[in-house]
Amino acid sequence: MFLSIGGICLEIKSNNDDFMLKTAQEFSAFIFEKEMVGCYLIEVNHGYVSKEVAAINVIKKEDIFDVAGDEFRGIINIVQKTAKVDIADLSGVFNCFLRVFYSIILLENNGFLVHSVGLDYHSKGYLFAGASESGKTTTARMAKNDYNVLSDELVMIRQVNDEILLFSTPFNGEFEGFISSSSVPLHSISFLNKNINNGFQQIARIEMFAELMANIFFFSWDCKSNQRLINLVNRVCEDINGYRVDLFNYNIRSVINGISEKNSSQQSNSLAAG
Amino acid sequence: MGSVKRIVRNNQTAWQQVEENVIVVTNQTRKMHILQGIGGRIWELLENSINQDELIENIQNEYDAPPWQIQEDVERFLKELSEKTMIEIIG
Repeated sequence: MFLSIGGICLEIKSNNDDFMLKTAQEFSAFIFEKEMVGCYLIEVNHGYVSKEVAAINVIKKEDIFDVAGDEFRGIINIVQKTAKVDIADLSGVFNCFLRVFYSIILLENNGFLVHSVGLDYHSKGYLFAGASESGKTTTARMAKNDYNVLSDELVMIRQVNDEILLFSTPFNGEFEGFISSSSVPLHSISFLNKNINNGFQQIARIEMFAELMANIFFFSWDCKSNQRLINLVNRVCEDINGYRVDLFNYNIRSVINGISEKNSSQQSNSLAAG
Repeated sequence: MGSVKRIVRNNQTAWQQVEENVIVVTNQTRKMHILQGIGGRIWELLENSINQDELIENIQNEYDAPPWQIQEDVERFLKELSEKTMIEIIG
């Protein structure tokens, strides 16, 4: 079975038919008919006995990442583009491993995952980032009738051909709506925050950088990986405006319209200045 | 007698200049630190190993404040950077 998440192809292999069937159902929107160039291969083995760990553990030795959670243990070779993972036969474990897998391989593909809800409105991507309990799922539920929801938990940002794109993912929280495989140019990044006057306010680049870093789903303890990540975050913060927003006390449409107008007026000003 | 301590950035750090600030991520503690103003300038001067007195003298020449105050501030700042594993003190 082939999946395409964030424009990155995975081939999933397992000799457990039940697992393959459930995976096909869970990731149905991301199934790809045939192999793409540069595909990653993930071999899944079953029957892993759960071991309680304090946090997801990632150890890097040269090109190989050894990753372990409560219910999986895997080896990821980023050069050979292969992974072997042993998982416990419980619902959601493979999805959990894939989140960690993507957090690692994305750096090789100019991207990262952000704790956020992503919305596509008129082919512009609006990202609303926040920690657990900050209101991401509530935001997705409020937006689902008017906007294409890209995820309510982990949205992917990638730089592709010099453009910063927002990709939908199957890494969701409690949002019940359908999420399709799609991408859209990133228009703004907002940080969910209650009690902001007027619904939203623009923030300085340094503040945006710090807030974005705090919301990135990332486990590496490797210095080179950290450097790649912060270089990419810097590129995003140079290109995209950052805001604080309060979506609980203000209508989401008025906030998005306000952000859109502010971005447009700043673009016009910079074009006039140029 | 002057200080013989030589100081250099810990090579297990990742960093990025963001406007007039420097963001530093330490590998050992995996924490992010923001160095503003003189802090960012000191980080720049630590690119290659430098004698502590030489570093203080550079800052004294560049900033308009009493030399004793700059010395105290830089020493305190370097101690903090060392505690946060952002620099290494050699000798």
